[in-house]
Amino acid sequence: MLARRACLALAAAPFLAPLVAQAEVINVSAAELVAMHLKADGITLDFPSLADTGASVPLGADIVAPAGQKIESIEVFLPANPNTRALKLKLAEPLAHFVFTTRLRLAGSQDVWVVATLSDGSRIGARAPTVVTSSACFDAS
Amino acid sequence: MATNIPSRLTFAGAIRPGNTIEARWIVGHPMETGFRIDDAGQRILRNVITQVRVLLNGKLILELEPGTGMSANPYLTFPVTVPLTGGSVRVEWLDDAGQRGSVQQLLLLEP
Repeated sequence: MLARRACLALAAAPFLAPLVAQAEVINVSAAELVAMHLKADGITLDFPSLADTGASVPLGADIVAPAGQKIESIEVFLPANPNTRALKLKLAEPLAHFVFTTRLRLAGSQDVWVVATLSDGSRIGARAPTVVTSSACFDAS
Repeated sequence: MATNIPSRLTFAGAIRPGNTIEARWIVGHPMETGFRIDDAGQRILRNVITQVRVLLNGKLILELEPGTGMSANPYLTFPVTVPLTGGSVRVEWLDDAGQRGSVQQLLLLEP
């Protein structure tokens, strides 16, 4: 009985593997973002270079997709935070131009990354640095 | 689970057919990260808004997946293109504790 079960598991493994691989990775490190070599054309970020507290730092982003492309989704990453993806916006109706502002919680001084996924699956992204003089994320340490 | 968490939705710009205006949404949610500990040394449970849906005349236009990196009292502005006959914008949210909330605002066309 066990042998049969093991055989079934082995047989099913190739079909199960892609499901696992597709699971969305939410924690993206700064190194991984840099390694994407994202082009910043069309993205304008409005982010303070100095923030007194990381509790609420305003971010403004103006994203214009390259000609013939549309924006499918936008992600905001804070690589120095415990959970690096602060926000994901999914556009149910893709647009060529999207403007948004929000407020972020920063664990410390870092670059904020705004990455947009375009209709052809490619990505564009830009980053903006900030210096935080006190942290908003507390851990047990 | 319904809540009495306050939420507000306003518009900036001329509400005319075809015009793209700015919608501003804020909700009075603590967005507990789960990293804090209280005075008794107990970890405060994570409770952040994890899902937000924006509907224009009942049709989904924008979906949000906020995380712990969003500030308390999450705030977002986003563009909305006014339909020819006006209508309404509705924002619905769901958090880790299973609480839900929504706010709706009419797009009253300017003459």
